[in-house]
Amino acid sequence: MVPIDTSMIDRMGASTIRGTRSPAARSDLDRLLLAIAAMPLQGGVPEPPAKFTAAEFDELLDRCERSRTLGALGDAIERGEWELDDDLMDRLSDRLLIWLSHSLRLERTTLRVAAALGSASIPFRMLKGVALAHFLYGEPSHRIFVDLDILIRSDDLDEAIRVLLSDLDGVRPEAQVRTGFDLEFAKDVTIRVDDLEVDVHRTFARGPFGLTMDPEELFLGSDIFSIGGTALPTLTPTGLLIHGCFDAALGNHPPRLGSLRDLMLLVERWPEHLDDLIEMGGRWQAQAVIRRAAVETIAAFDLADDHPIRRLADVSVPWRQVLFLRSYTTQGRGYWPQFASLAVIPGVRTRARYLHALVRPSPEYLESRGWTERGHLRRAVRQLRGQLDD
Amino acid sequence: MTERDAPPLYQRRVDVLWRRVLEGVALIPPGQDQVNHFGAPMAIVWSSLERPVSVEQLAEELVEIFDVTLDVVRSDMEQVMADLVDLGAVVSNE
Repeated sequence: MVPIDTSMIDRMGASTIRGTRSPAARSDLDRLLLAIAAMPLQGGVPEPPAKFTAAEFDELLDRCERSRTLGALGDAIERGEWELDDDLMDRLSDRLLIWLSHSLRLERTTLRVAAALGSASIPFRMLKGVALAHFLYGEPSHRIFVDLDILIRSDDLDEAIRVLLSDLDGVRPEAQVRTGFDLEFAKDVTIRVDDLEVDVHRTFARGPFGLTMDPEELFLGSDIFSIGGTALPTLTPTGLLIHGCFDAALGNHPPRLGSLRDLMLLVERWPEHLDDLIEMGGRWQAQAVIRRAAVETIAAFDLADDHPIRRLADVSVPWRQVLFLRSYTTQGRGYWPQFASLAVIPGVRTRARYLHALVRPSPEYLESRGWTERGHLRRAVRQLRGQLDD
Repeated sequence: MTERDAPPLYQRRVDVLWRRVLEGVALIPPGQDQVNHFGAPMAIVWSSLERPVSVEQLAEELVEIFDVTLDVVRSDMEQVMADLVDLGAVVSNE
């Protein structure tokens, strides 16, 4: 029995892979990483350029962790794509053990969260890591994840947070921006349960694309996967596909390789649902999200002309959405999507309430972030001018 | 052999959370916090425990993989099953 320290995973929660660069600019390590991530499609991984030194292999492991493709590397080794000496095998095994132990702890917490919400008769849908590891990936150890993501109806958000805080001794590290803000405008609320991060979502994205989507549609149906003999609900294939697009296009900038891999696998698994996905994207004014996700995935994995995802890259995008999308990718993207939201929030009073919350957040919110009011405004202005890193 | 004389059968608990870790296996038994990690031999045993098996059946499977006598494997498996039952990862019909 081995004591396993998974605390380093929390520290990696916000990190991303550096870009899906153009083919010409890719290093040998980039190419290797992409080949590992694309393996389910392409069926093989090229030999490394030379025998790995320990330092080179550690760098590959670091990048696999940041891009959430460490499970794919484990898959490649299990398939015998590469021969590793004992030292490198131990290095990989140690990293995988840390991540997969973290996954197991998250699954234990998933069951507690699901039981608590079920007792309170609050409908939910499991999203991303936990759901995809079991529902999409043939072998759950091939998909690592950092936190839990769960979708709740907006009307149930307050009650769900109360249940997690009171019944599971959860902690809310960040206060609400202003009273009522969560229910109307927030993408998600983070609660720590068992010292693990549980992201309680009411939408898939902050900014305009999170406000024009209709999460109620995602509660019209569900699919089921199982953890430890307990059945858990997740989205239907169309719901998983559109969430995969949001995650790939808007989750991180540059997009995280693991998110692009998820989308590639989702499209290959359920190509017959692409029409429904495109229709849903139209209803949600999210064609730009679908197209960007597809374009990034095609570029990263150099997907063939007859790959089903190509259809998504041909989706027509209204110019307004192009501008919205730019707010997520420009410098100052920590703030621009929030201001772009003003273009889609209906009603003068609601817009005023939203703007007031952004400019004058509650003292509790500022304190929970360690900010002062003046510091908050200065930070916002500097970000919008592109003078601060996101 | 009557039902009373039949050897005990062992099987994974369905509510154990577990993952393959390359050639090993990591698991959390229900109601516990600690992750337990086992190496390759135990991963083979864990795989066999998907269905009810006796120590004798396990020993016969393993003796073909490891270069040891049936008596040694049988003795080891009796202890391993006892440990896994104590851990709360495996149930027995005993």
